[in-house]
Amino acid sequence: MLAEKVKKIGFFILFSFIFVFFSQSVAQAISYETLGGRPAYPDPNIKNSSSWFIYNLSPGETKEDGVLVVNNSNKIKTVFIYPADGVVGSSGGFALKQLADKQTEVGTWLTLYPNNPPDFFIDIFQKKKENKITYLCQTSIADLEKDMQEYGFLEKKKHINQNQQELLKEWCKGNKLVKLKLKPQERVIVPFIFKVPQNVDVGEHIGGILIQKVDDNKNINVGGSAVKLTIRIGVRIYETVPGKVVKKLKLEKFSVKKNFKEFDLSRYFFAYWIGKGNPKPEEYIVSSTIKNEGNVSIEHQDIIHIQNLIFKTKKENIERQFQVLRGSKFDSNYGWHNPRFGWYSFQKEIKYKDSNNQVHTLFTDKIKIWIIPWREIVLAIIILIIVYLGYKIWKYRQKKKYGGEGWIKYEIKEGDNINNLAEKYQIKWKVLAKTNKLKPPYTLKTGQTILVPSLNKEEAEKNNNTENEDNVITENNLEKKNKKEKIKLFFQNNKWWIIIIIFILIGIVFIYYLNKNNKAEIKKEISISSVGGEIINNNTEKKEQYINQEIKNISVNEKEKNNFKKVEIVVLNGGAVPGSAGKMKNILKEYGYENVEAKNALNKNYANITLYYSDDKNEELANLIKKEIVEKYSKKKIIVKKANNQEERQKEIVIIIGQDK
Amino acid sequence: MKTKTQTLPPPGQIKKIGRIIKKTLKLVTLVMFLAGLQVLAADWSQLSQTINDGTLAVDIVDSSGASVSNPSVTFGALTYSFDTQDGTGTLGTSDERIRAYNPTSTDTWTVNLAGSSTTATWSDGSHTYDFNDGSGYTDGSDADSVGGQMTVDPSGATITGVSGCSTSNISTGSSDSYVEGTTDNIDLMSASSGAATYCRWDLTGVNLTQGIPAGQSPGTYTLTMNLTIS
Repeated sequence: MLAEKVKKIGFFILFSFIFVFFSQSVAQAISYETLGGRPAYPDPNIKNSSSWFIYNLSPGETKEDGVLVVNNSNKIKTVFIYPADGVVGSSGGFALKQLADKQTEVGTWLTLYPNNPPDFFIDIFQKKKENKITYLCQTSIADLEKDMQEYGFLEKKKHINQNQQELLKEWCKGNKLVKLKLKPQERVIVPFIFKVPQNVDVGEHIGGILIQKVDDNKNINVGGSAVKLTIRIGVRIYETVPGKVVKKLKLEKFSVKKNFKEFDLSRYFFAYWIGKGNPKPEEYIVSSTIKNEGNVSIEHQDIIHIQNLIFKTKKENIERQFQVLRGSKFDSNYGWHNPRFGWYSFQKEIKYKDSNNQVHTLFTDKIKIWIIPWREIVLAIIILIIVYLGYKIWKYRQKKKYGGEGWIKYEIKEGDNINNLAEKYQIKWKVLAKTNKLKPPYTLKTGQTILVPSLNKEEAEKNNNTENEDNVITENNLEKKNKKEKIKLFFQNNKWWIIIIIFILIGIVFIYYLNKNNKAEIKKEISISSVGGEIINNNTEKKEQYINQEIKNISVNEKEKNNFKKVEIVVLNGGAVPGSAGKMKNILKEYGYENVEAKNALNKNYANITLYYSDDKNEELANLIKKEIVEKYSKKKIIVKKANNQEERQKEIVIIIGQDK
Repeated sequence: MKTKTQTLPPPGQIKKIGRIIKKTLKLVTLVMFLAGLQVLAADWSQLSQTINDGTLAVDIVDSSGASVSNPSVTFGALTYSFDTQDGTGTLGTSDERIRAYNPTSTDTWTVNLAGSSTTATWSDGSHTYDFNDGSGYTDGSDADSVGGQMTVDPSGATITGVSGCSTSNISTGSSDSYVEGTTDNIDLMSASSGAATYCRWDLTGVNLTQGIPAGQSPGTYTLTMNLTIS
């Protein structure tokens, strides 16, 4: 019984041991040994405010805030903290200036206050719940004294002396650069004041607060010439000065470029032998450049439409979202993993919302590209050549062995058979049979003529000549035969020339398509259609300037004008670039027309812009609209006409936008 | 004949010894159990604290994810030349990879590389050459009097998600060269809207090519550059 109890307890101990052991290994915390920073007091009502400082301050306005600086590592880290201007990276990404660079904008609007104020003022400072720094630095000495006396931090009838005032003044200057030593896992909030100058322009201004690791071992030898790296973490600042916000994007460039060479052997062999790692992927790079002409950052939807033109399969639509900073250009690149063969078209679509929340869409023209599998073609040709050469060599050897060269004619006598003839002429019976193209059972008829090896040279030569004569005679005979055999003979006699010509033609086609593919990248840089901007088409040969449009003098009184604004108008796209009707609709809405819709016309063969009025009473309105829009469409021909058919008569005013003619 | 005899302790004493053994074993078991709980409790509290510290970060780490203390990019040794020549190096190798951390709910960020200042130069203590001269190998109209230009090509680099993180909407930048005052920051990697959050990514294989002026004096040159995430 004791033994049983000891056994039970033993199992329990074993269980506890396992429990302890595995609990040690299970409880591993997830951590990363880096520095970090973020806003100390994010506003949950503002998106991304937990990661970025997002302000809407007016000129002269001040905001007191703080940045949380974190040391996630298990070592002491020393850091620099400083504000910097925002700049645009090489591909349009967000970037910040360096510590040593001169700050001119947002980098100068921020002042850090890492330390507490002078001891004398600590109590009143901590008494304030918010805007402590602003209070301490902007309150007059007299008011400060009053408050301190009220709270009992300063005896009545006593004053803040000159020295204390100087110390406070010095402290209120703050710091542009702070050096902090952070213990392992320490988190520190560094307060700051953000003040927008009086003379800044409306719109978005970007900058950030940098947390930069101080390099303690600057002189460490890394064994040769090297780039030494320092790590920085930037907490972005987006300050939008209120006022008229302009959001406008312009699509500047669009290209499709092959980023690999068909016959770059190093990709396949040397990359692995030398061990340079994975070779660059083979792909086509679809690139575009977008310019932000507004005064704030704009988020936009970037869609690439790719279609197979041979099989007309469903379009492949690649959607991404990017941000373009104010006044900057954004380059987007997309690596398309291409198939080895096909005919494809590429088109880019950009969508963004303007300040009125209206969606603008920009389209490029389509770029069409042939993808030819040159590598496979050349490989196939090389294989064919090898096979052909192999076949020729084999044929040559066969001919040499079984062709009967130097053999003479022999008439079969009675008693001759293949075996005794083979023995007589010291050859194998199979060679004799194959040379004379004998079929089983290899019976020889008396009087039959076959070829046998010559037993002396002279006879062999004489026989060759006879054979050549025979061949000539044969050829002469063939000339008289039908066309098919003539062609066959032509190819047999000139096959090498034909093969060479084919190779030359393939080479020419290859070089032509090589150049054509390369040119695709610049083909459509400027053929871009836009709803939110101008239509630019340098390939258009006709550039008609409709500067002196005939515009009737329209004078309407206010009441009539108000009535006109309520008229029903429809704008139809009758063959113009996609989005033209929507653009016109927006323009009319800006001019106060309330009932405007945009659609596609049934007929796509309209030319220029035509305003159709259904009733004569609307002719005046049509001319008024023409007068209003002529400025926006100065390069287009605008005509006013009476409606002729149902499509032109569907509303009181129908505007049809057609192709430029 | 001798016989061995064993003398057993009295039955009461056996029982007493048994009770002592039992109690000792129970005590040991209890102590070990409590020790196990303690470990779990301590590590649980540590785990939750770490999750709360979400801040965007970038670092150079080795293949095990440990931070590299003095990260650098070594350029292959060259021989003195009367002509211009190029030095090459790779930023982001298996032992020194660029790791971007995003343990936040904001999906957009960018990693870029810049000189420590726009006027920084390669230096061996006595001689210098530039990294951002727009004229390339020769000195242009920038602030210094030396030529030299560095090209950074992240287009062929590889982005790998750590622990299965998706690389969708994470892209490398384009190849570009530094030009003082015009191209001071080259984007290496960026995340656009829709990219994964609470994730980490490694970047390896960024090619650096430094154009070196003709007749550059022999020496061991270094240039300090800043890797920034924002």
